[in-house]
Amino acid sequence: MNIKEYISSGIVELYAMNALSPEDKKDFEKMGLLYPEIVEELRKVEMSLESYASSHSLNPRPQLRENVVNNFSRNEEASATLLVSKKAESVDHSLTYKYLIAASLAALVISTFASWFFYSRWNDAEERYTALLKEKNELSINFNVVKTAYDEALANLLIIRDELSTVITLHPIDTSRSYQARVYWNKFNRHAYLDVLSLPEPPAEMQYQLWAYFNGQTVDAGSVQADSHSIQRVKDVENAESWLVTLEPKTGSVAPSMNNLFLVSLKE
Amino acid sequence: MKVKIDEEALIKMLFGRNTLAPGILYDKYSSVLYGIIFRIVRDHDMAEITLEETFSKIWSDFQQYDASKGRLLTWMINVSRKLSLEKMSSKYNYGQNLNLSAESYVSMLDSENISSFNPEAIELKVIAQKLEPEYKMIIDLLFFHGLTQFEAAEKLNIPLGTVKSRSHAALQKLKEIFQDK
Repeated sequence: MNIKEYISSGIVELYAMNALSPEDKKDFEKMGLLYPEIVEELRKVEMSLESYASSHSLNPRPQLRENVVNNFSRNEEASATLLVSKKAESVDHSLTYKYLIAASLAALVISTFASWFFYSRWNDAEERYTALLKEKNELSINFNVVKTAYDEALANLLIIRDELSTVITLHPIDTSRSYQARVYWNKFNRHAYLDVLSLPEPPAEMQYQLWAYFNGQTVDAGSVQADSHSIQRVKDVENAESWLVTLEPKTGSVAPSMNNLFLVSLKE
Repeated sequence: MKVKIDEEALIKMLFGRNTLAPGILYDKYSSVLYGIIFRIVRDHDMAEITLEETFSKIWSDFQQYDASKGRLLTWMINVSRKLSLEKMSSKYNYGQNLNLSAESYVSMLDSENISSFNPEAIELKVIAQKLEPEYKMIIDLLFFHGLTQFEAAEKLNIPLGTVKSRSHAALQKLKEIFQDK
């Protein structure tokens, strides 16, 4: 057989990567015993693969070292105990005694293993439980945030979609501005809502107030927030021909300050 | 404190169950093994568990290690790969679900960049980048992901003979690029 050809067939690489079938693996090992060149090539391939693997190195958490090294010494203690039990057998000729020692040592080994096993399982479970608990809390916080946003959106939608509501658009007095708001008013249950689409931030100590105008009179419909991202409920309104928004002192006014008129609904 | 020791001496210590051996073994090889395990299981918690199991198995099976059949690190890498692949196959059919589209492959490599690299590996990493993507893919499939040559051929949709010749060529290239190191 041509060894160079055998080597360049790719079998050495596959052996090194443990990608051969068990039969091919055995054949390869036999070939290696016959031809040292094969083994030499295998060592080179293994070293390149090891370098390649090392190029992907990642450091595990430093705490892990202690776990692993402690596991080693526990295993060693366990096998040392087995050795002691063998010695004890050869010295002691009493059969019962011999069995007793063996049994108790076996029990010791088993219980050492079992306690280590269950302790690590328990530790594991404890960690997972804490992690899950944390995740659960985060999820429930997130859920509440989403739920609140959803409830609000749903409430707004119900107001907008109320088939008994009239929608009134309020336009700016100063037509160079793009201030705007909408009133949703249900004449039947008198509920009124204001959706501020755009209004400037009011000066300190001042606030916007909504008014309903009917039959020559203006009726206070309540103060409104300029920066609300939601539709706000205002006072119930019995009758309205048109609507106004004025800027008033925070204490509230009983009559609109007409020189501070911002928005007004246009007669239909 | 890390102890520098060569592979042959370490093997002797391991056979003799020397009490210092586990610590030395861990310091010398944990980051290589962790890198491989993480690449397969893709989860730090699972990778840590698998790393512990790998060292336990190395320690308990050490009498089975035959230096004439392979190098120590290669043997340990194979132990870690086997345990990692078992973890994954118990979750789902790993080989079948390996996503090998070019984009996912690139994003998989990118995701490694965020992990904490071993500074000593960075030099090797730079060298490894000289490997052509088609070579890298075949080595990764066989070596990291534990596919057989048949599975690799199927996965890449190339003939079995090509898998063999390409893995040979890939390793020749690897040998070449790591030689001057």
